[in-house]
Amino acid sequence: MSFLRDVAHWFNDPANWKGPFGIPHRLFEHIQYSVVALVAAVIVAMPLAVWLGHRRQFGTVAVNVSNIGRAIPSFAILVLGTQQFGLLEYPIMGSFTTFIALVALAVPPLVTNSYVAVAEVPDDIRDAARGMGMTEGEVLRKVELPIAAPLLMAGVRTAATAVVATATIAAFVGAGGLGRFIIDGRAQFKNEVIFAGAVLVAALALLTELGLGAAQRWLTPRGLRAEVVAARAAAVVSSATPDGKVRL
Amino acid sequence: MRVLLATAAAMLLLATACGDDSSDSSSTSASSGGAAAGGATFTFTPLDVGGPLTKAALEKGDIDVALLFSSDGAIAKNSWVALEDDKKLQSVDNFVPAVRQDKATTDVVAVLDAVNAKLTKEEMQKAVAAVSIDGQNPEDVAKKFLADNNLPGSLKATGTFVVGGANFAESGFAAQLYGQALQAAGATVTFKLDFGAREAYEPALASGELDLVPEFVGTLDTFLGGTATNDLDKTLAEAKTKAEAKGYTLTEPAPADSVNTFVVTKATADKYKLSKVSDLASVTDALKFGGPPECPTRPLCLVGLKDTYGLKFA
Repeated sequence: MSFLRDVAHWFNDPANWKGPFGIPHRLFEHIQYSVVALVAAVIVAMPLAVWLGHRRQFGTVAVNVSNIGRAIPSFAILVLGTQQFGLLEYPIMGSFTTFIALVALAVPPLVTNSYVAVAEVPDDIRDAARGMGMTEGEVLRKVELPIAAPLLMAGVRTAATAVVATATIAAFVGAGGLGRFIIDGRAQFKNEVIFAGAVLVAALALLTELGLGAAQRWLTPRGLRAEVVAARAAAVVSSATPDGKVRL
Repeated sequence: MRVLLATAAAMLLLATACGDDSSDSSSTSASSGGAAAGGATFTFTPLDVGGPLTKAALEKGDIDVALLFSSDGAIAKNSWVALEDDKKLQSVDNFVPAVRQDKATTDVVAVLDAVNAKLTKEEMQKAVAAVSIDGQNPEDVAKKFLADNNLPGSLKATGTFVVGGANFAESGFAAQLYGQALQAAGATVTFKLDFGAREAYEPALASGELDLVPEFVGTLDTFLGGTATNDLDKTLAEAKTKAEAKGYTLTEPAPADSVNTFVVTKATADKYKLSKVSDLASVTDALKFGGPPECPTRPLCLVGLKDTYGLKFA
C-alpha cells in the first residue's frame, strides 16, 4: 500500500505539474509526437489505399508491403537510426527516428482498413451510382467514402492507439513525452515515477481509443448507424401488410 | 463532407500544436533559457550510461559535452578531450591489481608496479578501443603494450598465479597485462577470465581460488564497506586495510582510472579553450550536455556541476 501512496504523493506534488519536466509539458510533447506521426501516416497511406480500393486493384500488394512496418520492431528502428544518424531532434516532430518508427507502425492498419473499407462497398451501390451518371470521382466522394467512413475511422483509431502507446520510446533517445517518466524513473530507482508514467500513457491511449470511437460514430452516415438500421428494420416489420408483403 | 471536416479538424489540432511549440521553444527536456551574467545556462539531454547513444550524440554534434567513463576507448579513437576534474568532484577509481597476500612478494610487486607506471589514462583508452571497438583480442593488445614499453624488462618473479578478470573490456585487458608480465618475468600463470561481476570474483580471491584480479581502488573500497573519496592515498589505505583482512592486498595504483568524465570533441575544446571542467564556467554559449538519465539528480553529475563548479542548468 505504501507504494500506491508514493504514486499518489507523486501525482499530488505541485512540482510535477509545472515547468519543462512537468506532467502537462510531457503530455503535450507526447500528444505532439503522436499527432505529427499519425497525420504523416494518414497522408502517406490513406489516399493511395482509398484509390486502390476504388480501383479494387493491388490490394494484396499494398497490404503486404505496408505490413513490413508491422514486422520491424519500433525499437530496432530507433536504435539503428540513432546509431547511424545521431539524435536528429527537430522542432515539432521531436526525434526523427522515433517519428519514422511511429509512422511505420501506423501505416499498416491504415492501408489495410482503407483498402478494405472502399473495396468492400457493395457492387450494386457503385453500379447504381454510375447509372445515375456520376463520374468516378463522384462515386468515390459521394458514395464510397461515406459508406466506408466507419471502417476508415476504425483504421485511424487502431493506428492512433498504437502510436500513442508506442510514442513512449521517444524517451529512449533523449526526446520528451510521457516515456521520460518511465526511463528517468528507472534510472533513478523511483518505481512510483515509472508506475505514474505507465498510468499516464495507458490513460492517454485509452482516451484516444474512446475519443476516436466517438468520432467514428459521428462520421458514420445516419443511414448506416446501428440504431437507425435497427429502427428501420422495426419499421419495416411493423409496416408489413397482413399478407406479409413489405412496402418500403 | 464529414471526412474532410475531420481532416480539417486534425490539421487545426496540428497547427495549434505547432504554434504552442514555437512559443514554448522546447521540444525536449532541454529548454533554451536566457544566458545569465557570468556564464551560460546549459541544458541536459538524458541518454544512456556512457553507452552508444551518448557517444553517437557527441559524434554527430547533437550534444556538446558527454558524460563518459575515463577508460572509454571511444575517447582515444575519436581524439575527444576528457576535461580534467580539477575541483575533484569524482571519487577516485584507479586501476590496481588485487593480489593474494602470500603471493605478493617484493619481486612480484616490482613487476606489477613497473606495468602500472606505464598504464596511463590514454594507454588504457587506446587499449579499450582496440578491444571493444576494433574487436582485437585482449591477449594480443596486452602483449603489444608490454612489448612497446619493454616490460617487464630485466625484472624476475616466481610463483604460481591464477589470474581472474571481470566481464568487461578494461578488466580483461588489465588481467592479461598483469598476468603476461608475471609470466614473462618467470612466474607460472593461468587465466580464469570473464569471471563475472565483483560479487563472483571477490569471494574467489578471498578464498584463494584466484590469486590476482584487476580492481578499481574506489569501487572495491565501497564494495568492502569503505567510503571512497577524491583522495587517492586515503581511499587506497582504507581499501587495503579492508582487503588484507580478507587475505589479499593492493599494490600501487596505475594513473589510468575509470571514473565519470565530461568529454568534448576536439573542435569544441579548441573553440572554447577547454581542458578542465572549471573552464566551462566562462563559456557563454548554451552548451548541450548529454549523459545517463539519472544524471540530473546525482551528486557526481549535474548536482556536482552546479554545486562544486557553479555551472547553471535549465
